[in-house]
Amino acid sequence: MSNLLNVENLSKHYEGFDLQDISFAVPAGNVVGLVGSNGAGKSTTIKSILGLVRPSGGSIQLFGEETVGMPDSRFAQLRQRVGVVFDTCAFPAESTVDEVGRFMAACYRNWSTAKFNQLVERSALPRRKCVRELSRGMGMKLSLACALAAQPDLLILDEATAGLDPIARDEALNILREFVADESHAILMSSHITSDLDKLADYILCIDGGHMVFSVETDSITGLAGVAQCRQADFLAVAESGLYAPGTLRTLKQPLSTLVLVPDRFAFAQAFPNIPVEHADIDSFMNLTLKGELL
Amino acid sequence: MKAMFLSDVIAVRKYLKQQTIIAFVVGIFVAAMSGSLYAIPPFIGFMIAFSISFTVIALDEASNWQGFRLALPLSRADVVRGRYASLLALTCYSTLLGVLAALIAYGLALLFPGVSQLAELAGAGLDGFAMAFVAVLSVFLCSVLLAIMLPLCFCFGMTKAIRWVPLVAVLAFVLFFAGVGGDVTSVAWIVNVFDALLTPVGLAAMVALTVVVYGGSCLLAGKLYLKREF
Repeated sequence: MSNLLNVENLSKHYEGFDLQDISFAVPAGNVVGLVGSNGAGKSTTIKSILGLVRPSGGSIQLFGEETVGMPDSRFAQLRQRVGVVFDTCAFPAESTVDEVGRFMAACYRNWSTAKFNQLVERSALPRRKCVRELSRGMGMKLSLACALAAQPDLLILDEATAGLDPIARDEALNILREFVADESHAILMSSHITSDLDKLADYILCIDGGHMVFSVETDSITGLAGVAQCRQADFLAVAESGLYAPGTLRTLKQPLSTLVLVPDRFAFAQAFPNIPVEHADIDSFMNLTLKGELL
Repeated sequence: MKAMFLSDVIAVRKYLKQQTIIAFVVGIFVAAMSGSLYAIPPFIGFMIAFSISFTVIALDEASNWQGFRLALPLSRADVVRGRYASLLALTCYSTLLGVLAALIAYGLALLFPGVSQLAELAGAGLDGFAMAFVAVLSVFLCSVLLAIMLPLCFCFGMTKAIRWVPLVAVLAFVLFFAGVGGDVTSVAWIVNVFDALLTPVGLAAMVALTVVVYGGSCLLAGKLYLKREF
């Protein structure tokens, strides 16, 4: 399994903010979800990958080629294989849907007009309407149609599903699933809607305050990890059980209980059958990891 | 470059249609009022070229279009060259529109000799070389102003650049006239310059200077744009 994107020790210095030592890979056939709070560094990471900002340090390999310091013209050629969707529909407000298609066809060598037309129809986008007349959801559908009609190998999505209603979001996720079903394709997707990543992502990377907090397989969160709801006595029992080394569990105090993030909910349930434990999702995993205290 | 050029054309097409109609009406009105056909090409040239140029540059900053554009397979050099090409084409188009408006005004003057406002235009006749001169002069002056403005826009973005354009433009003209030497404020100097320019060689020199100044500005803008982050 080859990596379409390899990021190693990426750093970027801004006045008042530092992105530091971000490392991850996007293997072919996989979806990597990028999560974190606002201002965590997700967009800076994506901008560095796309060449919109110059990294202060580290290495970014796109399709096996180092892009840091690469001549701009070569970088533009590499982006022929990358489809991009940002958090807003960025096309000029007075362009119609058809005109956006014409412009994108002039940008991408592999542009498929047939695919664009098919996606425009599937999303019920009005061809003659200007971008400024489209709702936010429609704008995002147009952006996604453009990114896919470019027939890229790698999709980079920055909050691409924001603004879509639940039905449109499910439809978008289906389209992304179809895209990544081709084992030579991959997706890097930042999103605040972690339920989308629960459904789609193979790996989750969390950034906070410019630092990488965790990088794990989604299955280890949704398939294995759990959140135990402990009363005071339960909590003491877990702490004194000796099953978990100090500093390995995250806990978060609630008004009536304490939540404990456990790495294996099945093992936990066996050891503590009287303590209710539910499966973790990305949201609870991230919350407890970022806000929780180490036990 | 082709994609960027197309993007600019698509972005301004609607505005251009409106401006063309307005410019035609205003141009013919100006010709009738001033009694001169030769004021029309520079008037329409400047009016359309600058109003549309500002519009297209301002659109870059809307919805992060300029950032998104660079995430596509367009190099920064493509963006700069495409923008310079589209604005030069726009300048030429608007000046030619001015020439066309002047010809229409002249035709109207010949067709309706009884209309007093147009009589002066018919009486003065139409000098083809003079018309070519004002057209080239219009393109030259528009290009020089764009050549000053565009590198700043590519370096800082329009919002910041617009604060620096007047200062840089004044400095550029002061330095140019200081370099030229002589009493540049005297009428005789201005008359001499126009006499020199109002020849086929002068016209060719203006075209060549346009290419040098505009092309040089494009190279500078390309270098500045490489350093910009989004």
